[in-house]
Amino acid sequence: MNSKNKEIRIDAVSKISGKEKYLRDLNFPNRLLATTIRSARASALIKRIEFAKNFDWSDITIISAKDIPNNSVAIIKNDMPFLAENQVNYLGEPIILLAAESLEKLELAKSKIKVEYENLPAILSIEQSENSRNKKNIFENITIKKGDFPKAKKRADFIIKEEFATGYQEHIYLEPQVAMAIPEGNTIHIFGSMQCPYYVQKAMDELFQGTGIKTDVTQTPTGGAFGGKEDFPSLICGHSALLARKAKRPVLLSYSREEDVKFTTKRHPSKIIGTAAVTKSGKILGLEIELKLDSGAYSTLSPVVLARAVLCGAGCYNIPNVEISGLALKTNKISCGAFRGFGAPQAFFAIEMLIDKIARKLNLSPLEVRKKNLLKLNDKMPTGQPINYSFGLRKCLENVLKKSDFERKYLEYKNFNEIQGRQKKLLKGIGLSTVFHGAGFTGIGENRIRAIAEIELVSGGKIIIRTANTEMGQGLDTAFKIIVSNRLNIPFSDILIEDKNTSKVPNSGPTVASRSTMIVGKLLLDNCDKILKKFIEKDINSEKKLSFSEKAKKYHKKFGNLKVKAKYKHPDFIKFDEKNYTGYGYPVYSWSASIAEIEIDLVTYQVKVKKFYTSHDIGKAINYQQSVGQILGGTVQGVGFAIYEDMPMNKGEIQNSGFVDYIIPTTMDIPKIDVDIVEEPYFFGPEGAKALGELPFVGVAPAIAAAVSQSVGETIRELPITPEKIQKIL
Amino acid sequence: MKNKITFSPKNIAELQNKILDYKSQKVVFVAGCTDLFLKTEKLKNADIIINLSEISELNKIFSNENYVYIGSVISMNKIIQNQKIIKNFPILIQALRTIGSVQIRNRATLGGNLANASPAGDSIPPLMVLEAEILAQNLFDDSSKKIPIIKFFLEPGKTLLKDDEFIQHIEIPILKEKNISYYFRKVGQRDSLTISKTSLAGICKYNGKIKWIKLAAGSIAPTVLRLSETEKFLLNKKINNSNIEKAKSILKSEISPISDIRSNIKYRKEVTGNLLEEFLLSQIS
Repeated sequence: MNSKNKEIRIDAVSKISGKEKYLRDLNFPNRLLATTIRSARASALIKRIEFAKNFDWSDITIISAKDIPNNSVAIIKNDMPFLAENQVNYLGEPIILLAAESLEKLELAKSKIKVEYENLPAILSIEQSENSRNKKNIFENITIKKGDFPKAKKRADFIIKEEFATGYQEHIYLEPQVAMAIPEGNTIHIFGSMQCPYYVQKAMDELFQGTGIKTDVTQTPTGGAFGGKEDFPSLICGHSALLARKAKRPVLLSYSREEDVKFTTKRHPSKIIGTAAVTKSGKILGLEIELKLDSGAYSTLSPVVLARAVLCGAGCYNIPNVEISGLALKTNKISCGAFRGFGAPQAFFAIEMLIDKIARKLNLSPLEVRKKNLLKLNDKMPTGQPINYSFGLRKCLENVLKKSDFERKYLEYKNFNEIQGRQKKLLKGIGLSTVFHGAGFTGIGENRIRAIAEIELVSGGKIIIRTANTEMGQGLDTAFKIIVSNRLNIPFSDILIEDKNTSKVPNSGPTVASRSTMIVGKLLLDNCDKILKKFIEKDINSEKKLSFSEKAKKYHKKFGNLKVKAKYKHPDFIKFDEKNYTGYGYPVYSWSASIAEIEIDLVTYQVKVKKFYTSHDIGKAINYQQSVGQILGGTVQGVGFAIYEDMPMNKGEIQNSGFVDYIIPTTMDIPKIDVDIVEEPYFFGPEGAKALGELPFVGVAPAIAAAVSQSVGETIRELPITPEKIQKIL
Repeated sequence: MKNKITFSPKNIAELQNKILDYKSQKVVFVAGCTDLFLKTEKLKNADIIINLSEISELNKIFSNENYVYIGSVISMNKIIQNQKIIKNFPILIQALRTIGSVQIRNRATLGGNLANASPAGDSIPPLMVLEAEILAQNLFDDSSKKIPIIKFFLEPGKTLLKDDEFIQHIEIPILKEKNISYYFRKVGQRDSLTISKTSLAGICKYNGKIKWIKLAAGSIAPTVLRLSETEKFLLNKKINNSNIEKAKSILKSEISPISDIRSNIKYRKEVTGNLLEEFLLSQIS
C-alpha cells in the first residue's frame, strides 16, 4: 500500500455508497419508538400533569421523574435532571417520556397529556443573569492575572475599549441525535450516535446506581458530531434506557431535525468587553478581557468551555499586563455545550476585533499592530507558560501573507472603497486573523483522565486496536491505522479496530478537544514499541529479514496472543495551577493564520466571502488529505458562523426549525479556499502531531469580520454579520 | 395519517375517468412534490392525492405568433432550456434559475410555484410583469377559465383555483416591441436553496424617457405585488436622481413587508428600493 492509498478513509466507501448502517437503519425486532414531552415554559413550577382518563394507556410506556433512580445526568456538576420534576428551567426541557409501537400512537398519546404550570420569572439574557446578583446563576468564574493592568492603563497613550457579542450556533451534524436501549436480564445495552462512550457509561452507572442494573455502551456509526454528541447523548441514552427498563423491550429514541435544532445543545452566545492600554506606536501594554458566556439552564460543560475561552482571551499576543475574567451564567434557555472550538471562537473573535479597533484608532494597518505584539519564540502566555517549542505561528502568518498578497490588496481595497465603492455599489475588504488551539484537555485534565489504549497481537499476525475514541466523520480510525501501520510496517488489512463498546475497549478518554490523534495516537505508538521490544526480548527479532507480519506470526505460534497497554501522562514539566490559572494551559498549541477577502454588495448589503487563505501548524499531518479536508470543513463551518447562521430567540424559544430557516453555507456560498500546512513537530505527539480538529474553525469568523470591518470602515462587533446588520452600520 | 388514494394519470381523459368514482372526496393535487414535506397538514386532510406530473397534455411548451403556453407540470429545468422561452422571456429564465437548487428544479414545476401561492414564489414577479394568464381546468368536466395572474392570488397559500380545478398551462404574451430591458433580482439569505427576503422584476421601454414600465415585487406583501403606483409615477419620466428617489419612496409606501426569521421590515423596504434604483440606473448606463 503506498502512502496515498493510506490517506483514503477506511470508512469512505461505505459512507459514500450509502451502505453504512446508522442506528435508524437497523431493524430491531420488537422495538418501541419513543418521544419526549417538553416544557412549554422557560421558567415555571409544574403544578399538575394530567393524563386523559378516556384514553387507553395500557400499551404506552410512561416515564416521569419519580420513576428515575438517580435523577441527575453526570456531566460535570450533575445539576441537570433526566426529567424535570417540580420545576422547569427552559422551554423544551423534558418532563415525560413515552414509548409505544408507532409514531402515530405516540402523537396521539402526547395530545392526551396536559401539563399545568405556574410561571416563575425567567432569565433570558446574559445581562439579566448578571444583574440578578444571584450566585446560583454563576456556573463558573475564572480569572487570569499577569502583571499589573491598572498600572499599564496609566502608562498608556490610549485606552481602547469595545464590547463584542456572538450568537448561538447549531452543529447541524447530518445525523440527528439518536439512542437505543436493549434490555437483557439485568443488563441494558445502550447504542447511540456519540463521541464519548465512556461519558455515557459514567452517566448510566450513576443513573442506575443502587438498582443492580448494569449497562454497556456502544457507539454506532456516527454521522457527524462537532461537539454536539459529547455531552448530550448522556441525556437521551438515559431516556431510552429508562423506557427500555420499564417496557422490557428495546426502545429507539430518535430526534427529528426540528427537535434537534430546537432542543439540543448549541454554541454558547457570548458578551465580551475588551479594554486595551496601548502606546502611540501600537504596542499593547495591557489588556483586560471580561468574558461572559450564556450557558443556558444547566451547566453541562460550561465550566470547561469557559476555561478554554479565558485561556484564549489574550489571543496570540505577548502582552505584559493582562487581566482576563470569565463568567459562565445561567439563563432560562437551552443548555449550551461543546461545539468545535469550545469557547475559543468567541474569545478570538473579541481579541481579533479589538486588534482591528486598535489599528483603526492609531491609523495603522492591522498587520502592523500584530507585528508589534505577536508572540515570538520564548514569549509567555498570560498564565506564564513559555512558548518554546512547536511554534509555527509566524511561519503560518508569513505563508498566508505571501500567498494572498495581503499588504498590496489591503491598500488597493482601501483605495477602491474610498474612490469607487459607492459608485460601483461595491465594497471590498481583506482581513487577517491569527489564532491557536490548545491541544487536548485544559490544564492537567489529561493526567486526570489517564487514558489507556490497548493493542493486541492475535493469530495471523494481525493487530487489534482497542480505544474508546470514535470515528464521527473526522477520519480517526484511518489516522490510528496510519500511525500503527507506519510504526510496525504492516498493511492496513492486518490492523483491526475494535468496536467502540465499553465492555470491549479501555477508557482512552473522550473524542473531544482535538486530543485523539495526539494523545491516544501516542499511546498506540507506545504500544507498538512495547510489541517490538517484546520481540527483542523473546528473540523473535533475530532474523532481520523477516517482515513484522512474519515475526508476529512466529511470536503468536510460540507464545499466543500478546496484549499490551499504555497509559497516558503528560511530560513531567507540564504543570497547571487550577486555582490561580498559572502554568501550562495546554501541553502544546496548534497555530493558524488566515486571510479572508470579501465583497459587500451595496444594493443588498450581502457579504460574499470571495477567497480564503489559511495556514495551519499542526505538528504533523498524519493523513495529509484528511487534514486538508478538516481545514476545508472547518473553514466552511466558520463562514456559516461569521455571516449566515442566525438563531433568533423569542421568550426563550429558538425560532428556527431546521434546514429551511437555519441557514448554513451551500456549495454556492463557499469561497475559494487555499490551504497550507506547516509542520512544527511536537516532541511528545505521534510523528510530531498535535491538535487539528477544532483549529480550522477558530480563525475564520475573525478574518471575515476583519475584512468586513475594512470595507465598512468600522470594527465589526457582533456575529453573525447579516445584511441587516451591515445595513444598520452603513 | 390515514391511508390515501393516489393517482398518477397519464392524460386528462384518464384523470377524469378515474375521478368520477370519488366525486365527493377531498382532492389534493401534486406535481413535482418538492414542497410536499412542508405541507403535511394539507395532506392530512386529503382523501385523494392526484399526481399531475405525468399528464401528457400538461407536459409541453407550445406557441403561436402571440403567445407561449407553458404546461403546468413541465419541470423548471426544461423551461430554462427551452429556446422559445430563452428568446422571448429571459426574465423568467433568470428567475427560475434562482429557485431551489439544480436538483429541485429538475422536479419543481411552474404550476406548483403558482398554486403554492407563496409571496416568495420566485417565478411570480416575472410572470406578473409579463402579464401572464393562468388557464384553470375543471376536474370533472372540460370547462376551463383564464385568470390574469394579477387576480390569481388571494392571500398566502390561497388562489382563485377552486378545489376541483387545476392549472393546465400558463400563457404568456410575446412582446413585439424592440429594445425592451428586463430586470430580475432575488435577495435571499444565501446563493442557492434560499427563500427570498425580497425580489423585484421589471420590464421597461426607455428612450430618453420611460415610455412604459412594469414592476412586481415578491416577499414584501401577503402576495406578490404589481407596483402600479410606482409604475404610474415613472411613466414618461426621465431617469435622474430626483425621480429615482421619488420612485423609491412611492415603492416603499406601496409595499407592506413583515419582519420574520428571514429579514425585517426596514431591510426589505430599503433593499426593494435599492433594486428599483439598480434597475432604473441600468437604463441610462
